[in-house]
Amino acid sequence: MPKQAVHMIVTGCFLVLSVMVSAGHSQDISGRLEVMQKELNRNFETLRKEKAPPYYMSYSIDSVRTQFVTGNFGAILNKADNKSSYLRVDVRTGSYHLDSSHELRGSSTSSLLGRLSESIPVPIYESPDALRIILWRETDKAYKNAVDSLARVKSQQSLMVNEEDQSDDFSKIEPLTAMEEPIEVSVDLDLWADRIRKYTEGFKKYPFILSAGGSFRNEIRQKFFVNTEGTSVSVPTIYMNLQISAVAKADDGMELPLYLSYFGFEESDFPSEDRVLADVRSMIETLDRLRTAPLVEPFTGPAILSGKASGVFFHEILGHRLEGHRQKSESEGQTFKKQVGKQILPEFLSVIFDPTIKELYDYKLSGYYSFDEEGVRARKVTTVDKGILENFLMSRSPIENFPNSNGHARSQPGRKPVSRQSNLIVHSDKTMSEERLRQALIEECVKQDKDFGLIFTEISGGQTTTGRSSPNAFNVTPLVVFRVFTDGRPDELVRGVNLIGTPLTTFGKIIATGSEVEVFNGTCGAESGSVPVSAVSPSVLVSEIEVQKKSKSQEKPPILPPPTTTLRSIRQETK
Amino acid sequence: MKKYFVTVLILLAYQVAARAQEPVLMRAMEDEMARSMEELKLDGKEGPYYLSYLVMDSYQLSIRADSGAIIANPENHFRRLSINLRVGDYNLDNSNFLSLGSTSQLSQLLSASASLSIDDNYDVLRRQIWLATDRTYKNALDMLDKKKVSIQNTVQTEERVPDFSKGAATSFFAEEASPAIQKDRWIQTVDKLASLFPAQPLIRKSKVTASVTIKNSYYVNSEGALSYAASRPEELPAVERMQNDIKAMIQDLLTTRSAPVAEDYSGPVLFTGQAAGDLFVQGIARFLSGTKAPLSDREQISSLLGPMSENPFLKRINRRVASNFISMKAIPTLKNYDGRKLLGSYEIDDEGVRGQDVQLIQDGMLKNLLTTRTPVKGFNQSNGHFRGGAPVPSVIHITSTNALSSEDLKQELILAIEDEGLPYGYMVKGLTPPSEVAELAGSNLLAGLRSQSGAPTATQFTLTRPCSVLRVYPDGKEEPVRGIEFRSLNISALRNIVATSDDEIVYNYPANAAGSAASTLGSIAALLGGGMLGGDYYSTVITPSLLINEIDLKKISGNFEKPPIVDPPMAK
Repeated sequence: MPKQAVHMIVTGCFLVLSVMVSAGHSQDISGRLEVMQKELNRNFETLRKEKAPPYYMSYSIDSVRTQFVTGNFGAILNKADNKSSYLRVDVRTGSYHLDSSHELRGSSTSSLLGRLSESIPVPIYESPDALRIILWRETDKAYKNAVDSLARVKSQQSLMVNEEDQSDDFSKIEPLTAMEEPIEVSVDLDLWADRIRKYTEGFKKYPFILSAGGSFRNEIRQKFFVNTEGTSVSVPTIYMNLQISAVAKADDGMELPLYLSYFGFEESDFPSEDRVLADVRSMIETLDRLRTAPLVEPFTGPAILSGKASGVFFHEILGHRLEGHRQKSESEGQTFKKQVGKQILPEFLSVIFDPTIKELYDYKLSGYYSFDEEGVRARKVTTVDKGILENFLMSRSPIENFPNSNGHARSQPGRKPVSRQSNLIVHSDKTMSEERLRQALIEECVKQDKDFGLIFTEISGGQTTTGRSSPNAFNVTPLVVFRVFTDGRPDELVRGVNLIGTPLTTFGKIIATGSEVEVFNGTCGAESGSVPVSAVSPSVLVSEIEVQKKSKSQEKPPILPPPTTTLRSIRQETK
Repeated sequence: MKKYFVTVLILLAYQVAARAQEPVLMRAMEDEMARSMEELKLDGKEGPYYLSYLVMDSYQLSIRADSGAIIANPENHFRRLSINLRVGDYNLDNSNFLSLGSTSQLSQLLSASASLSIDDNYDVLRRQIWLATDRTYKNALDMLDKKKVSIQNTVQTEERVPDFSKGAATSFFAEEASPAIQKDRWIQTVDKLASLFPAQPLIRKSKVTASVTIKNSYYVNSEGALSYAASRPEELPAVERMQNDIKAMIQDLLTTRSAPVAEDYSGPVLFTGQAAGDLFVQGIARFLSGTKAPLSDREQISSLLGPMSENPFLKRINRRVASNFISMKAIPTLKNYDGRKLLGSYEIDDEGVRGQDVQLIQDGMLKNLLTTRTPVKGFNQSNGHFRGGAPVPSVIHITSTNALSSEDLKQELILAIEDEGLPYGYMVKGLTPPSEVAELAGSNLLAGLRSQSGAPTATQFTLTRPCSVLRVYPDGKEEPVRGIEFRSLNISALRNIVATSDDEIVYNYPANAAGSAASTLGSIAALLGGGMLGGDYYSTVITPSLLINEIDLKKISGNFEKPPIVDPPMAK
């Protein structure tokens, strides 16, 4: 089975709901770290006397509290307050140069099974004895797996061709200690339930809106990390999310979703109820216009991507290809491996990843964290400086010429971390007003002898493949697209297309950027699970993009009208 | 690796009571149903001839502990609607057909259910029911067309049985159960039980789980309306008693740990108490249900599903299937037996049919099967056993006219051993819960597939590994052994029952967690029959200990993991 590497960033997607209640035990941070440290040392000491001794071990526990409420059309579907706690044990045998974590070439099924059993639930309340037993049991399992893996790695080394990248498997790093008290925030879920009712109730009146929902989520994590090098970290993170979504159905069956998404670190980061309700009203209006908007045929030509759209665009085409471990794996495309020091983007563009900031230009950034999943302090990384590729996003897994971590090892709780993106920031030295950018779009259309260009404003997310066994393409899913005509006709809202392309071709086609910066906060999914990320970018003008037809539902709209009789025409409502 | 398992269940007794006021949910269901039956019709097509809505309002609390501490306690309240919509007629409709055409069958099947709001908001509920009904209706039309084509294109070797039977309108109302569970109390209880384990350094893994469910069901169909609901948490044994049970179990476990490893064996086996219950749950139960294989437009699917979902007992009515002193009877409405609560008990099934007593086996002769409104050949009427989309055991009582005291039964085992010329026999006291087997295998799916491949023919079944086994020697000596498992069994084992005990065990079990091939197929059948997945259903079996001849056991082979290298943390 060929290895598929698909990476997605999405918003407005309600994932699996889980539900819980908390008890009021407050966590004893140093106590838990001490239990972990002691058990780690005890196991390490004994295992070191074995024939195949470990050289490194770590325990990582994420204690997560999730408060969650979801509703639809003004009524609540589900409400939950849940605690969970996940452990990951890393035991490495061999040496920093070659160890048990080394990629086994050509085996994808076993790694998939391995991934399934990675996260281990551990006590959610303080219970040192039980925790010790679980740590001991899981260390034994991880150690035996490591011995087994290393044997297979060594056998591959002697049987297969040499790998291109001969760098070490693990980098050395100075031990550190960091401790921050847990965040004790508890939101009033009943209050949020009322808000969700209020925000989603209005959709009921419009027969063309088939589904409409809202959700609020407050997720607080406390990370506990210890390793045998002496690092000991316990830090909290918090993410709050409000999302509202609605789907209209056009007469031809096409489903047209729109999303509102708000992100914050505390409740006061969220807009007022009036503001949200105003956003909902304008969303309904757009939906109504969208369902009767004309369809666009497949097309290549110039386009403007709004800040949000280009943020996702950079996340997919560039960001995923700067993740360090992808430069090493023999199954990855390694688009930029040999491009260091070379021009890969126009010289007015720089791309920075900065997990250490919580906000920029008044936007909250969901890719914030202070320490990564390997206990390494998060760091700002300039990956592309004035068009020149300078650096990759690094975990402690080195690649040729990049031996050190820059704090980008990330994963969802309990999963094995790999290098992932944080806050992606696109910086431009060549900005022009949005009006001027629009003019430049029209000029480019004329130059290419096109009747119109496209402007992408709202998008739901995108995806890309970076592996070698499938075409290295990307796909961005636009929600709101306008046609801009060269003959001065007013802009026209259109529907039915996805933005596609291949990365290297597309980079050369960025002509200019606008002055308006936007942020896209979302969740990025890849091999180490879902992690919150953000992408900040000005709008960009691209001389040529390609759109393809969007798949659509073949189902007819409902046969019977909605059961309620209180329907009103949207036209009256919005006038 | 040994695992021990304690499950604490609270179940609901249906409480019949006068209905003070019609719940908002019922009103929304009835109104949308009336509108759909009258108006839901695509141009040039027929409208539904039958429609039913079943809503489960479930409140679930599940507490899990590992190695002495709670690792999860999710709590959930949700409403799930499932729709059984039929187009065509009673003779030929869209049900029981599996198509693997261009559109995804799974998404179509899933469209017959939907999440409903937990707020009693009439408008929103109607809207949710409206959209789900519309989807289901369109899918039903599509399925009926495909099914008709498939029937035309294939040679039918068997006479067709009607797809659905007529039912009489019933109505039944009970008081709604209020979702008030004392979560903290449950957490404390689990905590008390689980905390007995860490003090035992030799136990690598221990689990305690408690699940509390309160379920209100709301049902309406186009032939007549009915609603029922209920529950009242049952008294569990005192915490102290459960603690003592756990202590005994730990002791048992420590004994087994040092027990000798068993060897291959073929001969009489005595299934005592819980093991007899497990034998019923994992093996016998599925043979008592009247199910038929779904039609399909793909031959491979039919041939794959055919032998496993077609119950061989369908063709054995009035023939001997068990020893002549064995009888089995379904008594769905029996609430208590011998002072024990019967969790499999109910008044009305999910098709609105009253649960009826059914004599399944009389003096070893097969007399009847558990049926639903989906007719199978020779069984045209429902006897009220439709739950979760398929016929499911309610309360099954296994009786015997050759019942011996436990001492005499052991003596009978010894006689059988000597008769076979064997040096010893086996007494099995319990089997590993199927849920644990799945967990050991890494994922439910894999375990499900494995257990299916282990049961290749319709008459065979597999049992999970015994977790408590004793060797019994002719002189009466008992010796614990470990490392033994059953070879595949055949349902003809019922005919090899030699004797039973005179005491009985009341064994309540979650009907959808039987973990065997039957449950995977049952899930498919449930979806095809318009049922719902994941509902919480319990069944009960009341059974004596069973002494059965010619059971094959084998030594567990394979590579065993070495014991842990590092000493356990509690050992001093």
